[in-house]
Amino acid sequence: MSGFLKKMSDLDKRVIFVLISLAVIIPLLYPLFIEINVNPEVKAVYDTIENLPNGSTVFLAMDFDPSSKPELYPMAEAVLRHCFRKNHKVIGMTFWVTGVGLGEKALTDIAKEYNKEYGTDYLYLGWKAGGYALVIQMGEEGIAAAFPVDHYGRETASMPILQKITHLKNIDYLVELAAGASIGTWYYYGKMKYKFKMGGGCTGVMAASWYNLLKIDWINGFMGGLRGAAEYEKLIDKKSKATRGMDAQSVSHMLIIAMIILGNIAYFANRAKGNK
Amino acid sequence: MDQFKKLAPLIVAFVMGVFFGLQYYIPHPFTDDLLTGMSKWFIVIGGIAMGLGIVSLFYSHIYKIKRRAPAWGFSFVMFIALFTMLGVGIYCANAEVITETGKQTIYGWLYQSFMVPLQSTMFSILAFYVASAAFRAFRAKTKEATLLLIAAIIVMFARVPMGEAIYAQIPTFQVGGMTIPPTIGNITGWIMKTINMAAQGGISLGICLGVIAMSLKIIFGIEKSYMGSTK
Repeated sequence: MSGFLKKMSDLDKRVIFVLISLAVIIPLLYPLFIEINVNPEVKAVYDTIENLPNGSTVFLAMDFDPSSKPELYPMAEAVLRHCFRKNHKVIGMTFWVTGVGLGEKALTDIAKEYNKEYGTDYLYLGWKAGGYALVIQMGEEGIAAAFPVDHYGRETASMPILQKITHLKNIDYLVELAAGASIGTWYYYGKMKYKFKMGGGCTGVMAASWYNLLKIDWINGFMGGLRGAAEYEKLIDKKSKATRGMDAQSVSHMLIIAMIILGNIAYFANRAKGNK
Repeated sequence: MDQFKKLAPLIVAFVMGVFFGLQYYIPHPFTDDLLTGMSKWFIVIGGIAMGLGIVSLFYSHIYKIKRRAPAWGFSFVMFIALFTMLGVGIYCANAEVITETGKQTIYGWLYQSFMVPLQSTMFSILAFYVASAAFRAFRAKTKEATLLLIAAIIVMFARVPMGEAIYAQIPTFQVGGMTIPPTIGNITGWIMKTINMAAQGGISLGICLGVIAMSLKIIFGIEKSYMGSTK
């Protein structure tokens, strides 16, 4: 027994790497489909989109890049599916120049699933330098003034989707999918002034800080990490990437917990031995 | 002239800082127009900063190659990637290629085939380091470390469906309208929405006060490091 505990405390990190690899790969190959419970903060985002009148406009800010794709991309897909299913119009953009292709792919792929027409049902503004200044411009001078051309270089002012929705104050809901601090930009320069409703999604490591944003009413709900995305997939009844990923996350969390407990047992056993 | 060079940025920072600080509290079409005008300047400066960034990156890697600095070969890779994306973006951004998923622009194909897998792979490696670090560093050596350890284990256990499913096997009973033991969702909810939020609130407040203090120091010319000198 003491030999095992000694080995545990000196465990080679390569063993941990192999165990984590297996904990991730096996559940992805053989899914467990464990039931996911939906948290109220995720339900709030779903309910807001669900209760908007058909044909409302949702602004989807996809402020992430490939490094956080596993968590935030499934959220974007799930929210888009929900919006298009409800016949809402979607305007997408990103503050992250390295994420511009992800936003485009999510919008075009999901729009194709629901036979939506570009320029009428959805629009992708892409990326432009400026950060908060863009939000001010979209609020004061209009979306077409801030983005005279879309991601593809087409003129935006004449597009049917921007005929009624000209300024930020006209949008019905803004969903901010953030891998960084862009939620502040949307709140300070957008929501505070133009009074639109705002919800969002963030990476797992950011989720702890977003509970505060919920409390102080910056957002009315949010999806935290892969779990949040999986909960949203459950709500729209379309299990996809996030639900499959949750099995891998489940097993790897359990493995890490087991290793921490074993590591502590080994630590105390070795310490007690050293004291004798 | 030297005196003017030092003074001009301070005057600009003071006037702009005071004016746009006050602007927030004076909602009027005139001040709104000024803010919109300034935001356009900011967009232009943002674009120029992007260009400056590329120039700086260019020189930094040229310098590395010239000096044969460690891993200087990767600087060549950076140049190939930079000029390929730049060239495709400028000269044939909308030219299409046929892929297994249908038509795609060359730029989009390069992005989806190189950038996405490379960046995703780089960050997925974090999972291995986090697991290894958790195993080595999470030791109940002190009271504070023990509290952190317990909270982390509860949240890690409860934030995944497997943990919830295991916990749901524990028999519950009612005492005075209360469920004993409380549901795992209630336990993590309390940790996240009470303990975590109190700590986060304190941190946020501290950050805000720090930002206000730093802004005032810049506006009044006490903090000058943004000018490239602390003197």
